[in-house]
Amino acid sequence: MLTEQLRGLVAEGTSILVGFVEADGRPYATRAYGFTVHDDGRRARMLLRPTDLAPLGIAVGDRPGVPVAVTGAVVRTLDSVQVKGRLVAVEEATAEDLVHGHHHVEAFIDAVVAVDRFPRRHMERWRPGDVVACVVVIDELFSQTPGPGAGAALGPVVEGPQ
Amino acid sequence: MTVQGVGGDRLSLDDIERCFQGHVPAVLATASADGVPNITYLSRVLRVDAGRVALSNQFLSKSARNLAENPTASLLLIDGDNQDEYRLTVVYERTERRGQVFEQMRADVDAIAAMTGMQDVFRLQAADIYRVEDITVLRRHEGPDASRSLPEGPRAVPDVGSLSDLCLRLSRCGDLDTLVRVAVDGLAGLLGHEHSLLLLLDEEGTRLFTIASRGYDQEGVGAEVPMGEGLIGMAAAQGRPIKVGNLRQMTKYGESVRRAFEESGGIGPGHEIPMPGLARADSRLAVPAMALGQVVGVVVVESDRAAEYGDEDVAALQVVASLLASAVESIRAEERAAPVRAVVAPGPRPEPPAEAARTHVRFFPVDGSTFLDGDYLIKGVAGRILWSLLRQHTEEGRVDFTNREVRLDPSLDLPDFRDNFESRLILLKRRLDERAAAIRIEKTGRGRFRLDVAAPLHLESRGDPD
Repeated sequence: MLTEQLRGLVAEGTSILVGFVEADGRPYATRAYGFTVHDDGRRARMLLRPTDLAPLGIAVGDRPGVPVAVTGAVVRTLDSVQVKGRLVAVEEATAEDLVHGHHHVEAFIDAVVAVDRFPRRHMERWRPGDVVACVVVIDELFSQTPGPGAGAALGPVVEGPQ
Repeated sequence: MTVQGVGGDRLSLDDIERCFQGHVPAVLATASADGVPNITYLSRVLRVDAGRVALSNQFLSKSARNLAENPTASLLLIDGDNQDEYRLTVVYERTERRGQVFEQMRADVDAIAAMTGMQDVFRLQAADIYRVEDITVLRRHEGPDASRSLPEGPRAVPDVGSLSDLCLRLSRCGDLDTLVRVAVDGLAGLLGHEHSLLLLLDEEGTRLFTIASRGYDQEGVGAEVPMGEGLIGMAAAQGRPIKVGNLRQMTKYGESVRRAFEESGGIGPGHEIPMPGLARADSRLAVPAMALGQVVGVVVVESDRAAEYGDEDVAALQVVASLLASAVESIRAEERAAPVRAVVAPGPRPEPPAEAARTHVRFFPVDGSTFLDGDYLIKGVAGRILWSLLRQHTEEGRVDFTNREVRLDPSLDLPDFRDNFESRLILLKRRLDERAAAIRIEKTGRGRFRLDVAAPLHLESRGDPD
């Protein structure tokens, strides 16, 4: 149930926000692309620009295990779900990753152009260019839709050992 | 303040000024003391000074807890004109619950609440002030496309000559019907406001009704807005102009919050106020029309372009609105002071064309609701005026009337202190014109009018207390 909710909100075309924390405790925000949830509902994969990982000192091949927050928001409604978990591996993006990421970006641009009426030519800069794949272990889900319920826990995705 | 940007660029808050127009929701990331991040959307970010920004604090319970433990936060801001994106590292300094920044932010949040019927539940709790430590470019297009992406820039500043011309035209109007027509035409022709609405306050001071409009598929005469609700009602209730330049984003955010409130049981569904006007409006400016310290009505202009109206537009519209309010009050005072004219002796009643289809007028005395051939026409005082005229027409053959004598008809239920008769009569006239009805009202002189009936009438009163 929660996994389905999560999949719906991070489906193609959503806005995906990512929060990390640097070693000195400073948080920083960035964006991800092509968020996919594994069948077990416990792991996810997303694409980031390598420069977005630079403040963490993380690169391809690392297995950092650092905390991460990922919020998926529907462009039209701002309905949002936040994943709290850990970034456990950074890998080269596969061909499948790139195809999925491309579809996500196209759908996201389509949604912004349709809903917010921004000219498509200015949305071109939202294409990320070089990306790496990040594996995330999902620990908890929260509603993040703006309003009185923002921050309410939706519970663990799957009970049981990691 | 100048801070380091990417590649040696030195960016200041001046450089990213357009990020504070609210065209795109901002993003805030915080972290707890044990290093767990949190990331969420914000309704509003304002620039406070050269080195500080203010964030709206409404639903930030987790963020607030994090900031108590770790005052550093990361902010994503997007320039709504060209989609450039910036990341700001900010440090929480203090919370304000009064003062200029708080009031400015509260006005924006109130506008969101008013547009989505959440005045009672959606309020700014505080404005959190942050010091900006760093501004980083996340994405920026270099080249000719880096210019504004909105279809057109802000409107040209209204010139004093055009404003003066409009004021002169308004000052020459001798009756309310002419006044409101000249006003909306002048707003378009002289000040470039192609879409405008004029609303007047009703007899009880609880609702505003549309007396004229320009630039819409439907004129919407008679459409009402409760006092205090929506941008228009709020402008009237607070007696100050309300300007919004990012309606689409504000509405989107507000509707999202509203759904959350509905799901939590905080408010009931179906309270949303239908916004009269452009379906794709992105900028709206509502200015109260005031005379003798009292709100008489509201002047509204809107556009499908974002950030359309500047301070000069507000100032110019305030001049027009003030003149309109004074003119309306003058016309009303003159009407009230006019002597009761001798009733014109009824002549032979003009017979409608024999081939004309009969018009069925159905009247509900309980609230004055009036229907023509089954279609709603009008209610309240205007409905009672029409019913009074039609009864006199059918029973006595009357076609010519004076405002003064009709005003004295007790069946109209006009309040003594503020009867609004003239504006209700014009509202009725315009509704009949708008519908191309077989019944029309024509002015025949100052304080006089004629009832033209071009079809046989069937009058029906439902639940008549008589």
